[in-house]
Amino acid sequence: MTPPAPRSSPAADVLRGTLELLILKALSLEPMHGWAIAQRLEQLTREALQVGQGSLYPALQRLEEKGWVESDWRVTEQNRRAKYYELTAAGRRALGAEAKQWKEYVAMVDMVLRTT
Amino acid sequence: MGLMSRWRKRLGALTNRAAVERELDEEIAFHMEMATERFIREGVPPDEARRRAAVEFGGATRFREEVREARFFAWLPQAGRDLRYALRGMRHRPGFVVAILLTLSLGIGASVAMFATANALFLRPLPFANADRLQVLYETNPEFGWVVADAAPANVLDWRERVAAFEDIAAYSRFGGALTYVQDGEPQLLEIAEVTGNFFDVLGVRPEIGRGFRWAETWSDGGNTVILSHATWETHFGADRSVIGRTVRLGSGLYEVVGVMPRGFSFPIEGTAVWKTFGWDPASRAQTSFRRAHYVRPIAKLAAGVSAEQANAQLQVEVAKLKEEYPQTNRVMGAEMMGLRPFLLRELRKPVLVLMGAVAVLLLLACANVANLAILRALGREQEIAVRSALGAGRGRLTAMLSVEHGLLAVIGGALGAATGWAALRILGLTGYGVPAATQVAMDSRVMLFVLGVTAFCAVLFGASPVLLALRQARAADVRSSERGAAGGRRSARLVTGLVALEVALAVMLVAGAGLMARTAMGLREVDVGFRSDHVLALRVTTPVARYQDGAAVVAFQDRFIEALEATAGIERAGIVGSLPLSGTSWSSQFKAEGWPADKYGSEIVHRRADEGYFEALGTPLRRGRMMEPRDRADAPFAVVVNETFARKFFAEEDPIGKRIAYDREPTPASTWYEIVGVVGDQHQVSPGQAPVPEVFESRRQDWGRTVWVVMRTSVEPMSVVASVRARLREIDATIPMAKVRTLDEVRRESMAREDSVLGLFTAFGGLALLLAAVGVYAVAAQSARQRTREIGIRLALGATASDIARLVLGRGVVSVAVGLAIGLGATLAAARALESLLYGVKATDAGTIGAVALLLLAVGVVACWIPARWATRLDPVRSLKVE
Repeated sequence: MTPPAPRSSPAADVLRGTLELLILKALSLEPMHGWAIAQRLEQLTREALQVGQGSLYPALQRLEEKGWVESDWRVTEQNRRAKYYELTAAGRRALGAEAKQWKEYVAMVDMVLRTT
Repeated sequence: MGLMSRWRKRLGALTNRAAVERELDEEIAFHMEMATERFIREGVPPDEARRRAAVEFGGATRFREEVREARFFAWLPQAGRDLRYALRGMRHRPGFVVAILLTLSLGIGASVAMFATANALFLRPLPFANADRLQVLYETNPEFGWVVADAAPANVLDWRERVAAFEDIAAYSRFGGALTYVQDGEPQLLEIAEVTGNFFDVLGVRPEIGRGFRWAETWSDGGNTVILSHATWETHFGADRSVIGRTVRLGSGLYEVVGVMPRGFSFPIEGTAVWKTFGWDPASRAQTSFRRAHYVRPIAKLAAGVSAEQANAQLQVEVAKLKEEYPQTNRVMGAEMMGLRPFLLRELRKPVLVLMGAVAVLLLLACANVANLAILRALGREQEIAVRSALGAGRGRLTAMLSVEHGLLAVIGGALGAATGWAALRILGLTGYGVPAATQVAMDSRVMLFVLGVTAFCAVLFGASPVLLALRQARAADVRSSERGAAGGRRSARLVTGLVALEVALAVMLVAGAGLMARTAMGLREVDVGFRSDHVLALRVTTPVARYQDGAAVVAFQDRFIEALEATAGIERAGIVGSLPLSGTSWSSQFKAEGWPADKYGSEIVHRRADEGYFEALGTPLRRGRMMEPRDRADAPFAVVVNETFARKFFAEEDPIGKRIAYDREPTPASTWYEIVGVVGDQHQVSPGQAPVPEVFESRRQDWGRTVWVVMRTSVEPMSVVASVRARLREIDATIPMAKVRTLDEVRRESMAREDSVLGLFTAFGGLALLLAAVGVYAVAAQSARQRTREIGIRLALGATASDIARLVLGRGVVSVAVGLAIGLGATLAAARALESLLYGVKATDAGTIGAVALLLLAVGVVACWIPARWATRLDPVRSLKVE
């Protein structure tokens, strides 16, 4: 599990933004509860990224605030109550925009790294 | 999820906070369960699995804090906690809180008082139903330089009948007067205002009880009626409602009381006790004098849907016709009009606007000072902020915490300020019907809104900088502590230096304003007004017709009274005059001297009746010829004395003594001729700042009057002879009341009331500004000294002298003072022009005054810096090194 990065440092901000992007991506497949999102992200990154709950839930709150996800309580397959998060239309649009931005960013950094 | 449902959820979260917390707990519990299950699946024993899940979850407190912060509106329930925290904090720092609240309540209080006054003058509807449609008419005469002159009744009546654009025109006399009312055997003088019968209808004001006047009552055959002021009704008629319809004797006439005005109503003359109608003789309408004597002020009510411009156009047409119809009186008479409010405010506008500006500067200064204090306080809280940040307080939380504190201070300060402002107005007697009496100062919604606005303005202005500073500190909290003082300190030091410079600059402006007004007041006091005002008592007496039918009887009474007074201990000389100097002029006229060519005449000369005792009591010297004397009686040729300005203006080439004049431009055989027997020194008639105008003094024994001022020079404190004066009067005639007893020193002071009140307010503002700036400079120097205690210790240990240290500490404070002075002087020179019209005998950019102000502020600034500098030089090097 990653320890929370020092707050206010640029790295923290980048991480924060990236995490939100990853959550949006994970939710784009289907509505999920928090735990499942964490698992899915670990799985998708082949366990390279372990999402701490300390970052996951605040990120979900922020996304809900922005209106990109919405939540409601449902019953899991194991018959347990859990809070499910679902992408809204705005969230879907945001995912597209954020992903594009990220790719541009990566491409730019990559270009710099290759030329120097 | 739609926008609506999202908001519902937010609001729901707000109102049902416990449920939200429960939800969050449930979500966490679910997560932990899942984590535990995963560990169990991986073969970890259940207990260990639960422990690992908990460890993995980590700092739950901080986690919750973050989630909470991410939630919109979360601050509201938080605010309650912050509020409690803020209150607790205030109890622990009473000095800081008192300083801030005092500064805020004074700054806000001054601006609220000023705004409430300006609101009454400029914004609040005048307390007349027809206020929007009321226009004041006045006559003009370019030949005499009349600008806003009273109108002749006959002209007003013609306008009323001929100009269709005016629904109606009323008129009043601004000269007032007084009538004797005998209550329980004790004669009282009641101030009267004379109006036309439609006066209250045109204004749109109704009496509280009874009825208003009727138009027919304007005329002598319409019935004698009066309306009482609320105060008169209470003090003289026992607030008895049955007074309506009762006949009362006022002076020599009998009047029926028909109404009582609402409390405080006192238009058009302050302190009016009784309104009566002019009671003109209907036959006088045709007389030339009715068109020649200008003594009424018309107020017109525009007809519905008619603009002032249209009405004015129609008025000009009629004015032109009247010129043709009555060339003798109207040849050069014009007429103009002005809305009622601008007319009432024409003298007040300027000073009020200047004072508004001054108060705005003071408010800004107060905010700067409070911001300064708050920053210094925030610097002292570095430790606390850092700890809170480290313990997981988010940036939003820190901002919220400080904002709540400052908001709370601002709200309390605002409330105190509003109370202070209102109290100041009450103490100055400016609430209710204000000055002029046609306005009402009240705490209305506009003033309330202003209080809120000013409070918010102050809160933002003084709250923002320390919050920014604290955020920077929070960010710096992770950095090694030794760097804290230096890095954060330097930036805040710059902020504080800037604020102090701003304070000094604003203080320069206010103190310079006070200095210029003080010079003006001094200049006015030094003016030779043409008489000695010390040890002179004046009072007004009216000789009733009932007991003194003709001039001979009136003069005989006056002679006896003067004789009795001069025989009284403490009174050296007594005399009589028609009106006191420094209190305005009444009527003016044209004249022609005997032997002047046909086209030569003098105009705009003012008149007073007087006797030799008056001039001697006041110490006004005779320059040439002789004084009026007891022998200038009704049976002797009319003798007059003129003032020096008169002699200089009209008799520059010849000797005025022995010349005869008539108060007509083209004398007729019926004209009365007066011989100039003497020239006396000029007395200022209007105010010390206004030059004397040509004046003729008629002998009170020839040109007699019933209402006169009796003046006397005393060898003792003037007010101490009042009792014996009253006794003398009673011995001669117990039915005659004494009114308006005052000393000429008072009269002189009142003539400078406007300058004095502006000076008083400016002095108060300037003094406050000086104090605030001194506190600001002191605070910055003291903080600089404290912050560098360690450095000073090292320097002292290395052998720095006391003066080295003093220079070190003085540096920053002196820099801010110098910068502030430079800015302040520039701003003062730029703003001084606004003050120009209020000044007398001093230029707005007077180098001496402004230089002195600069020196004063410099001195205050240096002293304020020097105190902490002295403290620093006395530091014990060893102990100071241990600080921190």
